[in-house]
Amino acid sequence: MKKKFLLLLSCLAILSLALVGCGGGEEPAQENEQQNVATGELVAGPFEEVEGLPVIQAPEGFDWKQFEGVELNLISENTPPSSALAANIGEFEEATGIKVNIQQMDLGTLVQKVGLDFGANSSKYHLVYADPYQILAKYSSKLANLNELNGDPSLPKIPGGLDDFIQSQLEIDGYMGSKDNLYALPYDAPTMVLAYRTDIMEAIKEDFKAEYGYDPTPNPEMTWDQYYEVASYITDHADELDVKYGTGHQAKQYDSLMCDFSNILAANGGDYFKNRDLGGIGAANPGPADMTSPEAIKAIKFYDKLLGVAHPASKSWDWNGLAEAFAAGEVAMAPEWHEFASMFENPEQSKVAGNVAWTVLPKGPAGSANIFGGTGLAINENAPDEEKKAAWLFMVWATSPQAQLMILESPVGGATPSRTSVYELPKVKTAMEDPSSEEAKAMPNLTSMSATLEAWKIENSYGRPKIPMWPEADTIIFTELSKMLADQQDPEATAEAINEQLNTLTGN
Amino acid sequence: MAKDKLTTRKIVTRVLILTALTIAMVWALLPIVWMVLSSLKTEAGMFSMPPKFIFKPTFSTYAFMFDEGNFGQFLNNSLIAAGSSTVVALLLGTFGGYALARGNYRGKKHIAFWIISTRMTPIAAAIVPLYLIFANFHLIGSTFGLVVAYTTFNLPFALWMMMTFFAELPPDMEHAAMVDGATKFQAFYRIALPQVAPGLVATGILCLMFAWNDFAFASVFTGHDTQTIPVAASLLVSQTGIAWGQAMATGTVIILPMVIAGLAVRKYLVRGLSMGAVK
Repeated sequence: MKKKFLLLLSCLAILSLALVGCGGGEEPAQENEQQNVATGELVAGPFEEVEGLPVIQAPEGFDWKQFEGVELNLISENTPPSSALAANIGEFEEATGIKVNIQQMDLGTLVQKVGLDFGANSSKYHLVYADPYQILAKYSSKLANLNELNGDPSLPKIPGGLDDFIQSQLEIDGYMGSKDNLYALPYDAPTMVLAYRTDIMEAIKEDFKAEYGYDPTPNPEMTWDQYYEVASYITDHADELDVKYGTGHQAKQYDSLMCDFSNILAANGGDYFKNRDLGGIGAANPGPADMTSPEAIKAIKFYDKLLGVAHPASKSWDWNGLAEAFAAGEVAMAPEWHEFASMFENPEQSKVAGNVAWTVLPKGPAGSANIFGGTGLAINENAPDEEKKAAWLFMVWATSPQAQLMILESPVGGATPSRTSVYELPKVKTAMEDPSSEEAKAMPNLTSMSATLEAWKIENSYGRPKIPMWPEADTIIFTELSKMLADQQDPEATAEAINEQLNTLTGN
Repeated sequence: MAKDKLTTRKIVTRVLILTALTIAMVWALLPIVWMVLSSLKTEAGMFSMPPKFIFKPTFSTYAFMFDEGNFGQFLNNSLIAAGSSTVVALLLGTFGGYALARGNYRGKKHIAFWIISTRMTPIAAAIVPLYLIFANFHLIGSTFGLVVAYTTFNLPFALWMMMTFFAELPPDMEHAAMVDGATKFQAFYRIALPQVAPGLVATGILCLMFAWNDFAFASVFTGHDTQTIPVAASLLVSQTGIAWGQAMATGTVIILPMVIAGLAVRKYLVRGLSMGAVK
């Protein structure tokens, strides 16, 4: 009886293995009979041209429809540029015959799905929204080297070349560990800057100036200490003003808390690790942590103090919560992602439309630091060659200046471009310079762009450490900071706890 | 005097019970009522302070979701995935449960426990191996894959539940039927099955609820065209805000079928749940 039972179990095990095995393997590559014969001169592709922007080009004779019938899956966070691309995908599909399914979701689910897809050596998702910290740093070996595709003489080139991308963003979004391989192209570019209410600043200007001796209106020269004074002043005089608190923060026990705090940490000259070159191309091993440095401790103490005068609900807000509170007129100032500008200027969503201005975040001893939160678009290395090439055509189009302008102008998009050439267009310049212009009304996100362009300058930009274990490090940081904000530990203990855990995490 | 005291105590007890019930009811129902009312307001009306309970309802959010969004498709996917997996689990679970309850073979108890133990696996632990298997069979992104995933979790549950219901029935009537010439299948189909109908309904509703409300499997195994309503609800939270109106309307659509189904079979549900394992 026992023998029979064992025999039955063995049969079942063999059958299961056989079933798993027989279904497997790579998808058969859809070998296309039509060979690419393109060589020589570059000529414009079948896409609408915009005067003043580099044209999408391919070698003469290139057949844009050679991948007709190929179906690509793009997995993306639920972001405005992806919604805009989905709404306008017809232009690309018509020109190439390639079908693109754009699947959007929250970042956590995306990271899980991409991780599973890469883990299974599958290519369910050909095109990946490659968050630099959660995807690129961890899975760069699973992403195709775009230098090879861009250098392939038979394929279209990046219109305007790599130089047309904002260089600091290309470094963060595109590379990992070295510049040998290019893994992603900058696709969106949210950056934290300071939103403030102009009507409130106007209302307190004279009295504040008389008491403190300087103009309270936020400007690039404002320091964090001054910010604290202005915030406290507004909170103290809230009864006389159309606002409840001077400042609001995204200090929920979540990634947003790390982002909010990082601005102050870097402005004070501190960083999470002693190696200060991790914010660009990143590194596999960051070396020892640096959260017990005098600069870091000073930053933690200041953040604790600042949250003491902020809207009490700040501790339960992420960026969405803070944006809604700012739009509802609850707070006068808010360090916030610049792409919330369109929401703040929409009278249907915001009570403060027309009374919002933006500037870079206040300075510390080391200057202004504005954390960058942009993402690149990458191709799954596991995809068969044919699909990889089809995905490259999509990349060329989706990250082109034309598509970036389309995203900017789209009613469902509104995200700001990652291409310098777009910012040179006269209508874009007008919108950035004159918030009351028709152009600004059509592209409301540009009202925060002057401040954002300033924030993108190397001296003002902050990139969090790009290391494979960043998601875990992020959790350590916001968890310990959150304990401090809940009065469960003091700033020194917080610094010690973060430092120790980061070192344990990284093996230093 | 003693009688008066008793009456007063009774009244106080009743008042306390009623108060506790009222609090529990408000606690449970207020968020749902709030959600349903909010889904019938404009975005501005949703956040007006003080909140309005009497207002002119608008179905614009629902109209937008069905006309301009893919909501009809999401609803369809949910219905197919949840419905199919429930039918499969009930069908196989009923046969399997009967066999386990009435069969007489060595290791029966171990087999029954082994079956239910598969249900004890956390979904998070099952997702990775399932993904690898599904990827091999090209089931990722298909509704069929989702039905398979739900069935892997619903079938052991249905089997165990049905086994308990059948085990509680005295076998004498089935034996009598067989003495009268009925086959084993006829005894099962005509005698035993009708008697466990409330249990069958309760099991079906619980299986349906698991599949209908699932997010974990659906978020991983569905593709662009096969997303279910819970996945669609998660899309309403984007990098730059939350579509509150649609979120409220989606929540209403998610709970509505389960509430209707629950009310329709309330009688069977209570009887079923009290006759079997879930006491």
